[in-house]
Amino acid sequence: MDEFAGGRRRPDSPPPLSFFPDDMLVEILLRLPPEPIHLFRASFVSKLWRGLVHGARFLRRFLDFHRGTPPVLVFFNNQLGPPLFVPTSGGFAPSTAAKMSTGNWSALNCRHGRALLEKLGSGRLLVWDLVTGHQRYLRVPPACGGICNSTVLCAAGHADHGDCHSCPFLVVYVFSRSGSAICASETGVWDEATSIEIPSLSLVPRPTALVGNTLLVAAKL
Amino acid sequence: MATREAGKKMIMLKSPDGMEFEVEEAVAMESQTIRKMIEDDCADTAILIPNINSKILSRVIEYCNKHVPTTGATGAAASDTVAPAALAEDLKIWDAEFIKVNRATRFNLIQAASYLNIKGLLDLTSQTTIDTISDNSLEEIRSFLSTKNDYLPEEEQTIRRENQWAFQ
Repeated sequence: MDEFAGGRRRPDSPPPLSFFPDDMLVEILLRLPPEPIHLFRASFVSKLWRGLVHGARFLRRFLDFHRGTPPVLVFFNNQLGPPLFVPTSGGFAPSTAAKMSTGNWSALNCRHGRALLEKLGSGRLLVWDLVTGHQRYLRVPPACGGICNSTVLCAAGHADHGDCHSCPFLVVYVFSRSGSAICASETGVWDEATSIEIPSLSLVPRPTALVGNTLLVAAKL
Repeated sequence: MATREAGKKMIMLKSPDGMEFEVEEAVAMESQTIRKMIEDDCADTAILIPNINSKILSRVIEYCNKHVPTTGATGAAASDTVAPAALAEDLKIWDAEFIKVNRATRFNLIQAASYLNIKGLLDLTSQTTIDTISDNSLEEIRSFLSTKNDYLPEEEQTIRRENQWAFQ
């Protein structure tokens, strides 16, 4: 491509883009394709670019610009054999994922851009924001035993969960026998939630559903 | 100076290098910046467009002339006889030709579209720039946009080592 020919400045060469106001550079970068690899690579062009594309304001505008269903980046697989982490394309593969295997980790739930995983046999949970790479380790709740159902969700309570990367989150466990427990990211401490005991009710280990602000857990009598 | 010619209200735009362009008000109002000036009654005399030289301003006016709605103020009857899809296709082809300019002109057009707040032109110029660079290496992106790599060599090496997948 002749536009790339040579690094020398010709008489008609534009001023370096760094002379341009940041908001103009932002206008260009907003139009990068929505898959995270493009922002990820842009952040390595220079520290200026990194600062721009990491800003909360830019990321909000980026999401608005690419309004619609966010791209599916990855599947988690809990079956032994295939990898735990299955990217949908070559456009997304955080290096941490390469060290995780199905024998050691189990994916419990994904919601609002975060994944909840359990390190098997260790009593540890990982809440992982796959796009920012932010990881938070928690202990499993003390009362955990028997069949339980767990979920991670954004705690900010806003209507549009398109940009929850900087929001606080909740991890919720519902147990067959001993009620439920909630851990808020701000405290990292498990609190017992109010519960009603229905003796003949048993949980079904299926993904939870969030409807408005109500978390629904599958169970059978 | 605002004048009337064949029933169309005209607006005078002045570039900093002294050139004057008389354009239909409807064409000038493709720019939200100029539209606001006109609506706020700040456009009785010629409007000076700072930082946009006559070469670029004439290209911007050319773009606005083509993109001004074909009904309403300009009174053109094109939309009565040509299907909207065909018009859109015609504009797309025209845009593709319009943006075949060198890098300096394109960047100046981005600046102009940004200052004059012409969404279509900003979309066209920015998207073309992104399409040009998004599949290229970091070095090519830096070269194309004349931006400086301010990462230390060891920082860059670490990033590349830890994120090899992203640089393939």
